[in-house]
Parts: sequence; C-alpha cells; structure tokens
Amino acid sequence: MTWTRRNFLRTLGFGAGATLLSPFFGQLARAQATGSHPRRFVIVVEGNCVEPTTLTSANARAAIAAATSADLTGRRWFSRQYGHDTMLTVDPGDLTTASALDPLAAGPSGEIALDDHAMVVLGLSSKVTGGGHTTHCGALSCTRSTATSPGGETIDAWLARQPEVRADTPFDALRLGITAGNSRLVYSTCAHGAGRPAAIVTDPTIAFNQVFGSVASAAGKATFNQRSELLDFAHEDVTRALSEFSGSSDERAKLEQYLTSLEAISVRQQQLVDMEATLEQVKPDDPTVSPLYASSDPLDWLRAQFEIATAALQGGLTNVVTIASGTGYGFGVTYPSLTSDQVDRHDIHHGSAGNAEYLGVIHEATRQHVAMIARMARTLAATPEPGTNGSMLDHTVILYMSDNGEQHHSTAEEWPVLLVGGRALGFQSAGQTLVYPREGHANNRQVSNLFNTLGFAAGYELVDFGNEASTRIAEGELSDVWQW
Amino acid sequence: MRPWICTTLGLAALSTLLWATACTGDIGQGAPDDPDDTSVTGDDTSVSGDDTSLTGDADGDTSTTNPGDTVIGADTGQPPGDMTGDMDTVDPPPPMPTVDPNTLDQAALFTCSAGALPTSSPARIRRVERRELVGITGHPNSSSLSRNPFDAPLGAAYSTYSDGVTIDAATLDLYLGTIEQPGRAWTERDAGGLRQRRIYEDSSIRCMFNDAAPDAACIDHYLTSLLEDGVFFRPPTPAELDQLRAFTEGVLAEEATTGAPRTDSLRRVTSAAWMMSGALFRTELGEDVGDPDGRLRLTDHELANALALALTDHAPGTTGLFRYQAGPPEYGGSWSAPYEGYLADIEAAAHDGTIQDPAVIGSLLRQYGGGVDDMRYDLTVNHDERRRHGRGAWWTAEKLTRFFREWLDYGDVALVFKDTPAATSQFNDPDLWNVGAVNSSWGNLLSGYYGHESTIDQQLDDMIARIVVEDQDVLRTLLTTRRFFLASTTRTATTSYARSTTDTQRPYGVLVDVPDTPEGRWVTLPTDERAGVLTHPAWLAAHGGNFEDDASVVHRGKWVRENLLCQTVPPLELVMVEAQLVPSDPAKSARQRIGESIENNSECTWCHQLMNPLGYPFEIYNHAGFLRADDHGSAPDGSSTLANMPDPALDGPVRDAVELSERLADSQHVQRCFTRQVFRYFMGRDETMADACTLVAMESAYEASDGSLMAMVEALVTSDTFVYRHVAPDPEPMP
Repeated sequence: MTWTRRNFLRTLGFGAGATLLSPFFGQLARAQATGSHPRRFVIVVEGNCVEPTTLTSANARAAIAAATSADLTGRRWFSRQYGHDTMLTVDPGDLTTASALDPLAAGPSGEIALDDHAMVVLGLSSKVTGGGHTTHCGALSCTRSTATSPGGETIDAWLARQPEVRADTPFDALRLGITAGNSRLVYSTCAHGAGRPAAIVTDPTIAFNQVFGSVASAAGKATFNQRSELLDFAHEDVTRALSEFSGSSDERAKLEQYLTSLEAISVRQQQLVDMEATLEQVKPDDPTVSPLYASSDPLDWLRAQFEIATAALQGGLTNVVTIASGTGYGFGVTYPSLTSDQVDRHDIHHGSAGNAEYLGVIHEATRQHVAMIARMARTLAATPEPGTNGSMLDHTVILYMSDNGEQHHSTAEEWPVLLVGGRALGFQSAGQTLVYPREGHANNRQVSNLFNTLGFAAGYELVDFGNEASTRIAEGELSDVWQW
Repeated sequence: MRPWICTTLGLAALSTLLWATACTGDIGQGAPDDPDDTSVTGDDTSVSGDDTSLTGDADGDTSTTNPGDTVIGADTGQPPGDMTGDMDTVDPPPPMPTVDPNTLDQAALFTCSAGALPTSSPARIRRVERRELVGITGHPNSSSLSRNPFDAPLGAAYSTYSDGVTIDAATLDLYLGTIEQPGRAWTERDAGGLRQRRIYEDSSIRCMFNDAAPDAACIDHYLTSLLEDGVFFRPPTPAELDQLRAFTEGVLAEEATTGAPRTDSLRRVTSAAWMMSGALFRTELGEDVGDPDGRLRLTDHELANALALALTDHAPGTTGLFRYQAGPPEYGGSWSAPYEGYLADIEAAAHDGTIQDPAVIGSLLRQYGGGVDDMRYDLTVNHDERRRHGRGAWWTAEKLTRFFREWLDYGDVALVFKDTPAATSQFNDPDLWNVGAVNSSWGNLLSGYYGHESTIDQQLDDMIARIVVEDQDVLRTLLTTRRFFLASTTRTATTSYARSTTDTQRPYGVLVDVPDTPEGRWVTLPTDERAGVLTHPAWLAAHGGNFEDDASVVHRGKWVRENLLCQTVPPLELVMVEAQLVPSDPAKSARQRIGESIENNSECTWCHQLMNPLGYPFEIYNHAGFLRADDHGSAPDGSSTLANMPDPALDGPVRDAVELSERLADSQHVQRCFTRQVFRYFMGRDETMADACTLVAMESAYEASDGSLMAMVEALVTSDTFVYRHVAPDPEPMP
C-alpha cells in the first residue's frame, strides 16, 4: 500500500479531526512530496462551453448509458440523463477515443502518449455561476459575476498568491488569451477578488514583450526598456514629491508605497534582465519571426500564447498560468482555419443543431485546444524537473475547462474537465474518466471542489472556495482526483 | 463595553449562508462614556504598513493564506517576508477604519457648542479612483481604460474614501498594462474613436503633432497644455514641467535617430506624464493663508478639483468627446462638452479665484448637480439615443447618482443570483401568466441585453434622480414615494426577443403594459404595496437571498440598522459558532424557517434582534422584490414589532414594509443618519465629533429649505470642514 495522506488518515480513523495534527502532516508531506520543487498550475479556459461529448470516451459513454434507463443514443448532451447515484469510474484504456482527445495519443512523429497522464472528470456542477453564454469570472471563482464585476477571487489568483506556489518566480501569474474584437486586455475571466478583475493579455505580441522583452527583438527590447524608462521617470518624480511633501505621515505613506511599488517592478525588470541566459534558452520564436503572430487565425494567436506560457514555465518565470480562449463576452471568435464561413462562435452554435459542419467546427475547436495542451504537456514532459527523477509535467497540472459549462446556453449543471499531468503533485491522472452523479443529487460534486483540489495540490487545505454558500454540496477536495 | 459571545444567524455576501457571530451587549450606538474621548473621533483611520506581502494581488491583501488554511509541506526556512527575495513587495493592508463611526453618539454629533473650535479636515492626498480616471481623461466607459485597476478598496464605506488608498505593486503592474491609454488622445490630433475636442480644435498644439523638430516653445506649450488640461488639471510646477521636458527632449532626440513615428514618441511622453504622482494623487493639502487658527485653506485648483470630483468623474475642464450628431446642439451637435470642457465654469472660477466664494460654490453645485433634459445629453458619451430614449428626463451628476447607489447598495443587484425570481408571487402561476417571459424579463432587467430600455438599477437611479432634482423633502420622498420609473413593455413587443422585454413590469406588480412614452414610464403604484426606495425591486433584490425562503430578512434588516439608523451590527469576522437555518421545506416560509432557527434560540437573538425586526416587514416581498401572493400556504406576513429603537417614535407594531418606510420617514433620527451618510460620501471620510458643527449646519440647511438635498450638500461643500485642512499629528510611537 502506498501511504498517502488520505489513506493514512483513514487508517488512523481521525477523519475531519486530522487538522489537529497539521504540523505532523506538514512534515509528512514534506518528506514524501515535492519538497521545495515547483508546484505549477495551468488553467486553460475555453469560452462559451466545452461540450461533454468531446471528452467522453466510448467506454465512458457506455458506462453512463448502462447506469441510466434513458436512451442516450445520439444525444449531444446527456448529463441530465445521468442515472447513477455514486461516482462512476471508467478505467484507463480508451480515453483517446473521445472526439477531442486523440491529440493525447502517441503520434506518428514520435509524440509520446499522454493519455496515461490525463484524466477526464464529468458531472461537476457550478450553478452559482448562473451559466448562460458565459459566467465571466464566475467559472474560476465559483461566484455569480457579471461582465463588469467579478463576484470573487478566481482560483488562479488564489494560487498565485500562495508562497508555496509563487516561490521566487518573477511573475505571480501569467494570464494570456485571445478574444473576439480588438481588446488587448480583457477582464472577464480572472479576478483578485470581488470587484477586482485581473487582466488577461490577449495580444500575444504584448505578452511576449512583457515576458521576454528583455531578450526579444529590437522592437521588443525597446518596449521592455521603455517600461524601465517609465519606472525610472516616475521614481524621480515621486522622490521629488516626497522631498516636498507637507502632509502627515499617513498621507506620506501613500507616496512611499507608490515609490516602493515602482522599485519592486523595477526589480522584476532587472530580475528578467538577470535571467537573460535562461530566457534566451527558452524563449519562443520572436513575433517578428514566428508566423503565428501575424496570422489572421485566432487559433494561431492562441498557439503563440501557449508557446509563451510554456517557455515561461520552463524558464521559471511563473508557476501559474491562465490561458483563456474567447472567454467572457469575447466568445464570438471566428475560426477561419476550421470553416470558410465568416461566422463567429455564437452563430456557429446557433446553427449547429441542423448543420453538421458547424457542429464539427465546435468540436474541432475543442480538439485544437486539447492539441495545444498536448503540445505544452509534451514539452514539459521532455524537460527534466531539476532535483527529481521526474519531468516538469509531473510537477505541473494542466486543467482544461470552459467558462460556462456544457453548452452555448449553459445550465451550469455540467462542467466537463480534462486534467493532464501533475502526478508528483498528487493528481491521479492515469487515463481514467470519473463521472459524478447529476446536479441535484447529493453525491454530485461542484467545480469548487475541483478548485479545492488544486488548493490541496498547492500545499494548502483549501476546503472552501467561492460563494456557493448554502448551495455548496460538500466541502473539500475531490479525493478520487487527487491524493496525498 | 460588555463584550460577550453569542451565536447568531446572519449574512454572508450574496448568499444564504448562515453565520454565527460574536455580538456585543451594547447594541445600538456606542454612547461613549467620555464624550471628549478623542479616540473615537475617527479623524485618523491609521493603516499599518508593517506587514509584508508576497502576493501581488491587486487589492493589497497581505494574507498569504486564507483564514483556517493549513499549509501542507510548507517549509521554506524563511519568514514570509523573505519568500520572494528581492522581488518582494511591501503592500499595505486594505484600509480599515479604527473606529466604526456608527458607534459615535449621534446626539452629540449634532450638538455644535458655542465655543467649538474652528473646523477643518486632515490634509490628504487622494489616489485617483477607477471611474475617475476614465472620466477625467474623457474616455467612454467602453474604453479599455475603464478596466484600470484603481477600484476603491472593498472595505471602504464609500468609493470616495481615501484613507490608506495607494498604489501597490500589483496595482501598478496592471496599470502599466494600460499606461498608454490615459494620454492616448494627446498623441495625435485625431485619435480615432477618441477624438477629443480641445486637442482636435486647438491649433496651437499641432506643431507637436506635425513639426519634424518642434522648437522649445512648441514643446513647452504642448507639455503645459497636456499637464494642465489633460493630466493634473492645475498648472504644473516648474520642477514637474522641467522633468517632463527633459524626458520629452530625450524621446524626440531618440526619434530623430530611430525614425519612430511621432505618435509613438508622444505615447511615451504621455505615458510618463500619467506615471507622475500629480497625475495619480490629487492633493488636498491646502496653503497658508494666515488663518489665525493655523489652518490651511485649499488652493483654488485644489478646491475646484475637490468640488468637481465630489459631483462628477470629470475634472474641471476635461475636454469633450466626439460623438457624431449625438451631442447637444449648444455644443455643436457632435461634442459631449463645450470647447472649454466639462465643468468649465468651475475651471474658470479656479482661474479667477472666485471659487473661494461660498456663493459661487453653491451656484456651481446647483449648476452641475442635476437637471431635467428629455434628451439626456448627460449620457451622450456612453449611451446612444436609443438607450437615452428609455431613461427618465431627470438626471443627477455621476457622483450624486453613485452616492445613492452606494448608500442604498443596489448597484450590484445583477450579481445576486435569484432562483425562480417570481416565486410565491402571482406571476409564478403558469395558469395565469407566461412564467417563462417573466423570468426572461427579470434576466433582462438585470443585464439590459435585449432592447434599449433601462435596467432595474437604472430605474431606481431615475426614480431617485427625479426626487433629488425636484429637491423637496428629499428623504421623506425617497422613503415614501409611490411614483416609480419602469421600462416600457411595448417598445419591443414585436421583436424576436419580446419575452425578455414584455414582462419587465411584473417585479413591480404591474399588470398592464407600460407604454413607450416619457410620462408612461412613470407609474404610480398602489399605496398598500410600495413606498419608496426600500420597496423598490432593485433594492429588495440587492438585499435579498438566492431563494425565496432564504434569510432575506437578515440582509434587509441589517442594512436598515446600519444605514438608516446608523447603528452597528457585529461584523462577520467575529463569528464564533456556526448556525444553520432549518432545512428548506415546501411547507415553511422564510419567516417560519428563521423563526424556528433563531427566535427561540437565545444564543442567536442578541444579534438578530438588531436585524430581524427590521427585516420581517419586507417579507411581503420575495427574494427578488416581487410582491408575494401566497407564502407557502399562508397570506404574506410582514408584521413586526419594533422595540428599543434609537428613536422611541419608531417603536411599536408595524404592518409591513410600507408602514415601516413611512415611519422611518418621520424620524429625525433617520434624517440625521442620512445626513451622516451624505457627509461621509461627499467628504470621503467618516464623520468625527470634531465635525459636529458642520453636521448641524447641514441639518439646518436641509430643514430650512424644506428638505433640499442640494442645500444640505451646499452647506457641506461651503463649510470650513470642506475647504480647510490641518496636518494630522503623527500617531504616538508604539512602546
């Protein structure tokens, strides 16, 4: 028997009272686990739904069908037909038969198989978010949010502020993505707290320059240096203002804090300069070289963002990444590489009931996202984790989910999830599919439980999260997804 | 004080979560034993900056774990402050008032002694607030600048509060992501969708856009204009101008060698300007004018900015935005403001010094505070004609509107999830009504996605605006009016999305259509169903639970206790014991569930007696503000008995929220609490005992003017409290 924290507790029979022994378990955890090794989290959010059928393998579908009296034949959505009362576990073996998961299979060009590093979870609900076209920041915060006001802190922000996760990385988090329209920053998916959105950089060129500007092309270096120039300029101004300041010490402290912040960002700028050798080693192709940046296909821009994120993880620039694809009200992304029609995702969805091509586009978009995840995962899998026998992928969990649930006009009753990697963090990813009972059932579990699980994997007993309040079904992590 | 612990049922934001809290036996206002005790004056809401943060979260939260979180395997061997080494940032905690102003003795607050010292306020600097940055730069709300990170801290009573509000590293990081936006209009004559009037029409600054090598005079003139008319809204100091000039000359020299476009160069210049402390922190430090009491008087420009930003999100002279044929004719038809800019007369009064004349301040306040305009040109920048068509003609300046949104706390009503919005109302009966349309219309009342009529919060905005502009017996009218502003239900009745627009009157209990006419949108509701803002569906929904049998009673009663009676309910963080409502049961109303959970539980009642009696009257409405028709088999019951109220006239049985509102409207205690709220918002700080004479002046002005809010605000903004400053003494060092 492998001693995990969970089964150790069960064996001792302490149950919920085990937190009394936290110091001991802290030592146990250190002895067994990642120690000071990085704990990385990548959250990939697809705007305006991931349809569960795309992540459901043949065996999983058969298991679901066997547990219900409903006829699932040809059903595009079936979570309301779930008939099981306890979680279904579908053994590893055929995960890549799901229509969007074949990129996880071993490839003809030597791509390693990832299905045994992956896990699909079905049956999670998040009714508090409201569903609809998008839940904005609700998806990652398990709150009711609007386009202009997050209801609470999102899980990426929570993770990013944990010392065990942040460690000594220059960036607490990277938030990258694409969106419909021309906005370079969108605030619809991540938040530092209620009413405090966190920006996602949707222009990959800007993102590249923020992260790799110090080693970028001449133009990128210029942008990076100009930021340093602004910081120096402001530092001089604030220093002068302080020298002339006549207010009280409390008021003076406001300016002093601003000065401190300027210095902190300047230090990061310098830190990036100091990491030049590492950055040079891992940086992806420059926007002036890579065709992805100049492409007219938003999926190419997303690939560029994945490249930036992957390189940032490899270079130790951050341990938390969020990649958002057309989230919030920016879900009207077009897919010129998938359909010749200049139709955005909204209209593709509305037309998909009687249009096989449109249905295919939706599912292919999901598959393309999985392919990008697979590419990132393989790169990390090929990168040894220093000081361990494992790879960076073992110390990185990639979560793929949507920002509204299971369909274009979501009910928020089903949030299909794909997890890849993170085995050294405690994730039990081995190719299985877990299907929780349907929303409304006492054994249903919620997206908030998944986020609790991330919290545990980060090293914290995050038993509560979000704002489900009385609609919370059960607290704590998903023990079948993660064990210590 | 007699602190003791009790279990109680209470609030959790936007939820029905029950909580247990510590509460104090000293219910109601504090009535300090020593009225001279300066420790309760609240002048100085000191903020400890000793803690270090590892986090980079934008709100400056220093905590690295949530309360109760246990760190697994965390052993860095370093104190938290060292975790990130040189990258570590020192972010202050969010500002927390050291004294809850509601604990002050309200009677003492409204006693101005004959020998009282001349008043003034602590000198301060005020970091720009998120919406102010959008407004003072003349951007529309659709601009990406509107997502700048300068939100007021969530813990602040009002968004105007400035104590402890600064720029931490994470906020700065986000701001740097938008740094090119605030000054974008100044980078070329016509910045596309951000064509601004002064920049577009002022030929004197074009040399900076057009000349290959602008001369020194051109650079100086451009930079002075940029700083005075676009960034600081005061003349720059020589040092500020010198620094930016040197920077600009460097950028232009670089341009000469790199061939960078001028717009790129000016983007760097304007970005630098918007990094300056004078851009991000507005001063209210004052100057020595020989005051015999040593007070400092706000300078002309400080006072002009203070007045402008007390009323609006614009600075005096913020230039107008181009909106093709959407602006008022007197501004040329396509501009949102005259050439001189928004609040031009405030700017002019700052330049000629007349701003120091109280009569001028009062006149400017009334000029820019609100009015009547069928075209609603005040919304030109952010709403097209179709949206403006659906609004009421009475308008108030942004900050006046926001005062009511923040005081009544209904601005985030769309965030509060409602399961079955029409539950227990007549509109949830599928045999009588199209329930799907009722639900869809409810959703659209929150989002405004379909059609061009107003959202439910805008409807309350417009209802309040009319009361404020009419300016007679304002508080009483707010609490008792039956005149509500609704969306038209006929305007889009033939569209494909009609079900989202045709039943928007149902939350008000209106059975007939609301016509598409200005007067038709004003609906007088039955006197026994609604009375004023506390019976408005926007307020009821904002302070209601997620389900109709949730503890909305507690939410609503707590609000009344704290914001209309200015008394204190023990805070959530003092919760000591968990409590639970009895399970939801089809046979049990919310009132029954709460009664079974709390009323017979002595552990709960100490705190809940502060809230529940004031919340029960609202049980004639459901969680979304629909009038209940049947409450789980019984007639809706809003009865309550008020006892030990701060105003004895409030004591006694009350039938429902209508009678409660009318009773509250008659109370001088409530009026004084309202006066305190006005003071807090427009001063941007808590009141203290030292402000008593100003509060009395506000009250006197209100009563002498038959209840004019403008008179009350005028008394404030012309008071010494508003225009004089003193340097607060440093706190005593810790032993």
